[in-house]
Amino acid sequence: MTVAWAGPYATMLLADLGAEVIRIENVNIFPSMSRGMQARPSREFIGAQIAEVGGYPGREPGERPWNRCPFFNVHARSKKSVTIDIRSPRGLELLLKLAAISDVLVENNPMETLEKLGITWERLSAINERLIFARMPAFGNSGPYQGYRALGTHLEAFLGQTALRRYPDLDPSMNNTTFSSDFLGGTSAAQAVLLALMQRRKTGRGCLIEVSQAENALALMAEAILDWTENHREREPLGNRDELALQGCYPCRSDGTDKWINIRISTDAEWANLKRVMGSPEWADNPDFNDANSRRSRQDDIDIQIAEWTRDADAVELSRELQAYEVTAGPIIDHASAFEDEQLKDRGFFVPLSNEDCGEHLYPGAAWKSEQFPVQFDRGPVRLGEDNEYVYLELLGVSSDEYDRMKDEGALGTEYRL
Amino acid sequence: MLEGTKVVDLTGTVPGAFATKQLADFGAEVVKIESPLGGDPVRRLPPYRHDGGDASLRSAFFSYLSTNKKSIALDVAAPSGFAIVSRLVESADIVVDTFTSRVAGQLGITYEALKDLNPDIIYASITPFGRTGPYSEWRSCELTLYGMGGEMYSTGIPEREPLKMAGSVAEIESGAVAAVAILGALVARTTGLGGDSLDISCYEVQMSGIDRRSSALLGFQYTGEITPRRIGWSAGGFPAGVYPCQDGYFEISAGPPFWSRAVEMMGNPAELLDPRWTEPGANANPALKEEFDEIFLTWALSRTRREIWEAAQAAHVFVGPLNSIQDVTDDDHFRERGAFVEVEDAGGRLKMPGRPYLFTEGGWSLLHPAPRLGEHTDEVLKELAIPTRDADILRNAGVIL
Repeated sequence: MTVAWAGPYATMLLADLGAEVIRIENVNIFPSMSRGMQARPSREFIGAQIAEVGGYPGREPGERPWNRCPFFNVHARSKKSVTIDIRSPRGLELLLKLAAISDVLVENNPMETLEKLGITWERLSAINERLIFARMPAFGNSGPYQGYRALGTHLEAFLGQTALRRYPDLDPSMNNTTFSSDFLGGTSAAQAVLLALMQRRKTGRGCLIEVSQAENALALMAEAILDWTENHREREPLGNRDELALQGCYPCRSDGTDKWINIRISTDAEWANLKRVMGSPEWADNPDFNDANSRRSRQDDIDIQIAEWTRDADAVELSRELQAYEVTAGPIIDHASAFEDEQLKDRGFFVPLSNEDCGEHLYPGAAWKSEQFPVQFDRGPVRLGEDNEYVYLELLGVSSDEYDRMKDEGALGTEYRL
Repeated sequence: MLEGTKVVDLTGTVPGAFATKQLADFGAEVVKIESPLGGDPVRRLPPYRHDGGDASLRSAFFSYLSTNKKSIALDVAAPSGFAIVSRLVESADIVVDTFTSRVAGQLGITYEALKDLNPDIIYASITPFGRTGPYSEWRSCELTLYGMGGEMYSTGIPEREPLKMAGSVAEIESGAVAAVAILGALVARTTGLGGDSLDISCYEVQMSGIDRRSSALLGFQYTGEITPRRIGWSAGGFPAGVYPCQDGYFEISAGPPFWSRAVEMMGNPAELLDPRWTEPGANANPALKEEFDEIFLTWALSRTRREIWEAAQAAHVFVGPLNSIQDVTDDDHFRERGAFVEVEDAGGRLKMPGRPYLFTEGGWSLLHPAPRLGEHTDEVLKELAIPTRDADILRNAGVIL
């Protein structure tokens, strides 16, 4: 019962590990930010959005837009989908029946959403004592901010990431939204479910998991937090720079393209190697640049020179050259070049997947390779209600008469009724 | 929860350390094997402790990443050191390392070799680019990992260079995903399916990551369009983005379909109830945005972050106050729920983030603080029944510390 990003990413990881994951959806409720921002967005609406959000295939919403949204489809592989209107008594009964025959229920709605429907841990555990119920509230199920709402980007603001993540010379209002706490939140929920499965083997019982996404994402701020708790030092925004090393993002855009290279020099040996790759230019022979601290304090001057040198280079070629000299460097990889990247091609990272509403495309693949249990994608991004018959008739034992009736009444289906 | 699970930890990077922290903090016995010459490179990462304490615990970051772990200082490259590691592997469930394939090959640490010692072993390798492919020996750091694997390209503003996140976000995320793969293999092994070899590429973890990256890549596949750098909220519309207020800044995401909630948050001012604000296309109209921003800024600048946040929560609007780190560590919610813990290790006392998540039964616990370099060498050698005499010889030869 997951929405937006963090929850669906958790169940994607579990599906990648081989779990049978069934999404519970509802044709009478459209949770914004799951299968799109709106159920039936106009061409103009999605046209005004960046490709990550509004990049439906060919920029067309299509007949069933909810099966075509990139920020949903990317985590929906290998999953099944059933539509149950859990606001009706029969729908709720069916949901509880599904919980009774499942190992895990994962949800990341606002806390009150399930509570209002009477879906509580007490009730679920009474039905199935082996059930693991993972909840992912923004702040938690207790405390002053119990029930408070947030998306990842608001948690990042709350946790200090947003104030620190910026160009040091620009105001934070120039920031864009980022969602690292969704990334870690989803990952942590998957971890917690696996830990609970390990524990269940010993105790025979499931448990309730609470991933407070705010608390969980404190890990992403660990260095800044420790600097404060240990040294009472409030860190300053560094942009792309570093506390110890000379590092930055330099242009490779003589042909007018938006290409860049990241370079990091932390030791004197690396500095010597960088100078060698640059062809030992005169400016770099400055004895002021011979130790890490002075390089950092003179970084403004050094950056101008490095940027001058990188300007005409190809970011990938130059990275390769620097890496051959044991200098840490890498191109900024945009969305087009990712699909051309040699490393990802060599490892077969992108995988062709399709569904009937989108056709075939390359999708980002698995995050790990396993020798014994290679991650396999059973199918492409699941369409709304694609597995209604399987879940209602086979798993829940609903009669085909009742199934047809519910379908006619609009309690289930494959299209949003709003 | 993982009591009885033994982990041989050969990691020397932040992703590796964060992955094995997830195992150690939930009950696994994690034995770090560190070089007698300075130990795990993570011991040298900032921020540092301000004074005194054991020199090997100078890094507060290491102390956080190494809770509940044991440390033995041992030269893996020496044959007698390798023999001890082999003994540990025989009785272990999991081996985790961060060696590139070249280094692992030199050391003789391969899945084949480990399987000979222990057929059911789970071997997890966490490297920047994976064990195969043209970049497999490339060096990496947070900046280059995020620049290549993560969504750095579209982070920042169009006129400037792409921008990284603050801290070591990509490295921490990569370690966390590695822990999922390891725990998945452990569940399979516990079910009787045997061991496994896992090749975890931080680059690929980022490429498949949910923080905009995977969606933007798929968006490119669907449209041929690259997601550009831009200010504000990915989904467009207003009010959205970071705005100033009386005592700082806050971030709001209340473009369509949340417009009416945003108006409610502001107390339904008459000027915003006019139908022209909700006409099709209104929320994408730059002139209207400018007009709105003026009204909104007047509202925001006379309120504090806290007041705005409370008003937003009451109206179910997504808002986050831009906190300082001190705000975070002093926060009442975190204090009341015990999100932070005070730990005393050989480096001194340190307040750090505690449990990542809660269970009704079992869960995170702090049994041991981060170890000094080689703190458990003697203990572990004793468990292996290695005579003191032999240990002394190894110590004199510099193989152990």
